[in-house]
Amino acid sequence: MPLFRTPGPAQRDAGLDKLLGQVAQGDTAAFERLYDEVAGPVYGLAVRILRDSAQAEEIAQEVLIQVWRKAASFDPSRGGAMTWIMTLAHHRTVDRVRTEQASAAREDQAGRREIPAAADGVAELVLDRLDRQRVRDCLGSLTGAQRESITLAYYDGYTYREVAARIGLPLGTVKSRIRDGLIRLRDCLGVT
Amino acid sequence: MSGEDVHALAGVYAVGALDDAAELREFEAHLAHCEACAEEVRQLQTTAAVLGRATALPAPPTLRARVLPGIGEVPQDPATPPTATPLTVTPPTPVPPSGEPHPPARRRRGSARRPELRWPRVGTLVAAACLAVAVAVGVVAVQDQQRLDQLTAANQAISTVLSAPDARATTARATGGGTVTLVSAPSRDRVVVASSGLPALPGSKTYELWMMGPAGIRPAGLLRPNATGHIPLRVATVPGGANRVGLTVEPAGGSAQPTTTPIVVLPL
Repeated sequence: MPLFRTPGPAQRDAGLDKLLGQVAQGDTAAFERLYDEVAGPVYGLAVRILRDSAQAEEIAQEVLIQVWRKAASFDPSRGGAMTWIMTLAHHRTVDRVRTEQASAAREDQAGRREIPAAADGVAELVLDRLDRQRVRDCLGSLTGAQRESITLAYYDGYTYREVAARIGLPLGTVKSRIRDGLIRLRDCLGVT
Repeated sequence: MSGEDVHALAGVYAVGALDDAAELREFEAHLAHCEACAEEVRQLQTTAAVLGRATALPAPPTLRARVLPGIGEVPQDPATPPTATPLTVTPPTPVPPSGEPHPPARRRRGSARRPELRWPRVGTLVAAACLAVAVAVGVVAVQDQQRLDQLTAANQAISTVLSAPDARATTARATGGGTVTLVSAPSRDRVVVASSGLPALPGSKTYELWMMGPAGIRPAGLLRPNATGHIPLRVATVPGGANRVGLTVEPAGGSAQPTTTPIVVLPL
């Protein structure tokens, strides 16, 4: 836990909440600072789900503008700014993958791996690398079925019905695997 | 659906895999009354967001160029009432399919209620948008569309203020030269700020707007010249209690609170 919690994410997140509050007041300079913190995660998630950097950039643009527009509806009591933004990003990206030909690329590679390896040729920030390694380790601690269900749902954007159909399990089983797996991840990652 | 079934949905809800509208409604209705469930969802959504953040990649510089320059022109939504659930499905902004050209005139939302372009700069903005589309080289149509949407949204916000029955304009001369005009309407929570002849600032400085009132001073955005050296019209949201708008010169990037004396203060 200390790896994930102490080197910065917590402080970074508290800073983000404050920035988002300033953005809600129309502060464009705060938005620029917020952009620098969240554009990489928003874009990376869109690339992961859509497997297409051009479409991902388009979606990331929409999400970031949506963050500006909707900043006033951010409610810190429901979770941190990063969670709010990543949830927006996930919803928007998944809307795209569920409606577009993008799903073809997804079909090819679904479930292959959770997180792009560092070998995707990109220099990582140290903190990002720590986060990434930590997530990979925690995903590795799940049962195979939990990991597969969560990966298909979150990283490939399938609905839980689709997940159930793909892996041939009853809906109720998929629901509980996703929930149990997330609870394990939560504890492993030290999310509070 | 039994209580137990509803609880089991917390996981699929948190990873965005609950897409059945009826189930989604039922689950959210349940969340509103189940504090433990709301807390579990908060934790599981935070967990999912950590999974998301682990995919971070350096964002391409073109993304920055597509988002930041026009952002101050994009109107912001007011806060949603506390009963709403901002973390759930939001209707996606309609985006035309890639490659399908939309002439700007057809994309002007709310054009039915749009007044004549009696504010010349509004026309200028639209013209600039058309020009930007015309000269863009190597940029796919949808990128232009997004930029155009930003400008169109700004124009719409400007129209909203200018077309208010109680709109009024106040102009004042700024210390150091130039004038600033404020168009406000008590029936609207936004104002339009126009400037003319303000001295150009060095790259290390910027003009910053402020909403001032008994409750304090809040930043209301930067006034930055565009590529041609003109400062575009700016729409700003008026927080409750604000009764004046001020303009100061601040270090580039802006300040959280004014660090210099306002060069102009206009009453709201």
